[in-house]
Amino acid sequence: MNRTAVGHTMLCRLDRATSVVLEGGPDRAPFLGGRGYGVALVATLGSPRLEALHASQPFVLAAGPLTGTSAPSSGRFAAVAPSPLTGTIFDGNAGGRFGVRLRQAGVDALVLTGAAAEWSVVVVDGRGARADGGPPSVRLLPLSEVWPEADPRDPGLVWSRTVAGLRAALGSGYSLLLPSVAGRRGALLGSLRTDDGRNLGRGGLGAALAAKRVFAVAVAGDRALYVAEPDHFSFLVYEAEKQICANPVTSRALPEFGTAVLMQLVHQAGALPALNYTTTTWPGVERISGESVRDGLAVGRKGCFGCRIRCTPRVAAPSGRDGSGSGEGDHPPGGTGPEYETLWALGAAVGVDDLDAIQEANRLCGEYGLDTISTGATIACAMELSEEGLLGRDLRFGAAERVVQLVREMGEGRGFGAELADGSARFALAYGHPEAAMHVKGLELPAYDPRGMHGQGLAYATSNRGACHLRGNMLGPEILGIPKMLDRFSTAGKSGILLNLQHLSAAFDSVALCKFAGFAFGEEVLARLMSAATGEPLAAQDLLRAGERIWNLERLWNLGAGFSRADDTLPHRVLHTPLPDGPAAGRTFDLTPMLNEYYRARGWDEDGVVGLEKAAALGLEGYRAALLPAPAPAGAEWGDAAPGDVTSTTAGSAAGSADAAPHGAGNAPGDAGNGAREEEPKGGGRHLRAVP
Amino acid sequence: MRARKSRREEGVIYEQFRDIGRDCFIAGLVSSHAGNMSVKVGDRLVITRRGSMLGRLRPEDLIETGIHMDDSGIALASSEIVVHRAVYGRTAAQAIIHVHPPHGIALSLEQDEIIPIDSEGSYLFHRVPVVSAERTVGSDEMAEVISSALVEYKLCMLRGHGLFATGHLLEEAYQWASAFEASARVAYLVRAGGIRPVEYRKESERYQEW
Repeated sequence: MNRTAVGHTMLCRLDRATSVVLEGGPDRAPFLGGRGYGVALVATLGSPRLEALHASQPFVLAAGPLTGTSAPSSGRFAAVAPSPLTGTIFDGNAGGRFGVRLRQAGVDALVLTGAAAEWSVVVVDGRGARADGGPPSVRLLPLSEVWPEADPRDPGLVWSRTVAGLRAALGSGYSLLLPSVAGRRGALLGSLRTDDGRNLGRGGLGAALAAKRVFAVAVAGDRALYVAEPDHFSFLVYEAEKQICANPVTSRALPEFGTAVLMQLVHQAGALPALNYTTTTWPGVERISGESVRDGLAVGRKGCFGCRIRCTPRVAAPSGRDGSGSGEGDHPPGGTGPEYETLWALGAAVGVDDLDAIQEANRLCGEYGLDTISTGATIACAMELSEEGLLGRDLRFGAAERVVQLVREMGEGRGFGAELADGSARFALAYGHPEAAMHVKGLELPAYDPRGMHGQGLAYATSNRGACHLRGNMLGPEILGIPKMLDRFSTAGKSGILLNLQHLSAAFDSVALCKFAGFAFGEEVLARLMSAATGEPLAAQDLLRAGERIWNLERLWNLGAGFSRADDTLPHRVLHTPLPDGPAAGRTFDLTPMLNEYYRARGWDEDGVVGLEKAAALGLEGYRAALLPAPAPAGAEWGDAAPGDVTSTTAGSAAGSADAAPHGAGNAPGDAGNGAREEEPKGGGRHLRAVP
Repeated sequence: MRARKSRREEGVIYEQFRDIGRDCFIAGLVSSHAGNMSVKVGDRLVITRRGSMLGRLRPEDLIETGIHMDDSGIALASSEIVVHRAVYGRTAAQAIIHVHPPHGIALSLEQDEIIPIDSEGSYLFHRVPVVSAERTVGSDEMAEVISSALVEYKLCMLRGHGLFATGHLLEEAYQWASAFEASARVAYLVRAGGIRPVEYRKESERYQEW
């Protein structure tokens, strides 16, 4: 048997309905796996100069070297693709069992290119352990054959019905990942969800996968996962779990309240942005707090594979307003309750303190496949415009039933909700008031107001996937005191702390463990777990260096897509409008000096460009040469490149392999000749800039 | 043209140095004019002045200079700046503390690694490496061996000299230094008292593999 911790990278050409083992692609080790390896694959096989939904852009699913092992909270995997919502490179990350199944099927990464001729199911089957550790079968099955009764255009074919139907059609043993109604019809807030109810919510990844006419990805596998030094690994897992048990965040707060424990803490800090970021004092906060969720909504907890934290509230069976959502995978009837960001987006952001209504909206987001953060934030934007008399319709903050109705309309693409389903930036722009959209790079801000947490503001502005709290979360040092409590209104030294957190975050996403374990232990433990799992020595600083490499490669992609310093900004309101009340009353946010310091700390130039010397130090010079275009001729703009501007990668050979040499080894990115759709895809790569 | 840090930022940094420097002296981690500290700010570092008193730091005792290149500030900087630069160059540390913890130094004279026997030290460190250098003050050799050790560990002892601890924040580096000396003191007392400790930690024999 092939005793290696490394699985296969499978390339599935959807337009040709063929699959091969990708040979000669980027090395996995410098990028760890998961998110990092996915980014390297997208950067190698795709092009930032093409539209995000161009058929030739790759869509990657990748597990990490620790996925599915006994390491704590190790059931993670990543999806990486250009985002139709933001135009940036984008990754989503989720737990559950799907990532574990990928590894059990012998797959480190599954790369999907082209677009299928008709709606299809990608079926990966690695069952029946092969003596040589060979690749699994990867087949593209037309949906019309797998499940003839299914109509992808049916807005009633929601997530739970899809899961039930595919399970009946495919048989047992498969883990599923699927876009739902919103993604299938191309809504840019369309998310991905696993059959056990784990979401890759942000960035329109559901729309990206559905644009390839992939109805679902099904994975089955039963291979034992190899760990190089099992005895030592077991000792390290024991030590890591000791640290989880010793930390009150991971041993008490998250298991008891879930992430909703943050509601009161962030509010007390004056950083809970309510009513579309117009105030941080909002009287309804106690009614949607962690305590209220625990006492009034949750009936238990739910955890991902291998997780002892179990942060997700489990709720009773839904109210049955539409009869859907009767079960989630292997879990009891009912569903998952709202986590903090969802409580904020469908609660405080829109002025709703009715927990049942929030949960119903949350459930509908899951059923239709909508990102809860962006959904709530976009409705909040519309509410503000309405209250200002700029919308021509009556939509008020606090209208709980209206929120539920709008979520349904957003999912189904009808009524006024259809105007909201592509996010706040496009919606507000269409109504002539882009300043009302609280976004960075087209992605809606989450539940922390930078005026009350200055480090978090820098995190939003510099995140490679747009405003995001998971790409270097200053929640630890500014609210929870992890590793130490910082003055949240200070800017001093924040850039250095943030970039370390950004690197550590990239490392967690890539190895791949849940970031919540990072509240208990950091790079030192993580590097030791990696070393013992792979048998390849990795020091703590090597791990952070890999995180830095991933971050810089993402930046290079975004620079190639036309992003610049001007996009590393925050909404006008955050920069210039003082908060009216609360602990942060009177504060705005002074980004420029922080951004200058951040760029210097990164070794970028003053425009935020990764120079050749920096790229070379990280081993990215080949990527830099391929991703950053030569100076454009006068009059041309970034993103003008046509599909014909890129060359094709080597086609798969009869022996079942395809070559895709990484940048620097001679090939150019992209593969435009395989069934690209003729029409201009919605969303595309045109990025939207926050109004500074 | 480098933008000046605001008065508020400068004040925050000074207060951190002042408070932690005073605590280091009061805790007995340094003698009157020993030890040094630094933080990384963008592509610069702020380090204590050569010969400054950690227990009585004044704003003018903080010297800002380049992480990679000298400027005139180098004339005033701590003689250990070569070590600080090497550590910043090879690690993601944002802060460094160098102190002379007596019990840690005593143990370093005999051992190549210090394995804590108390609960907190075990939890935080598992193992602290001891490195040696012929020239133990401000040498390139010292910078090399210490920065090498700190690629894998957050703190290390230079035999016969003192402790270098790193952190994402100055406070965090100070925590490691303080907790380490407390742990070393327990180990020293147990040894000096002839106490034969009862093992209470599962798999503690494996801490040497850490």
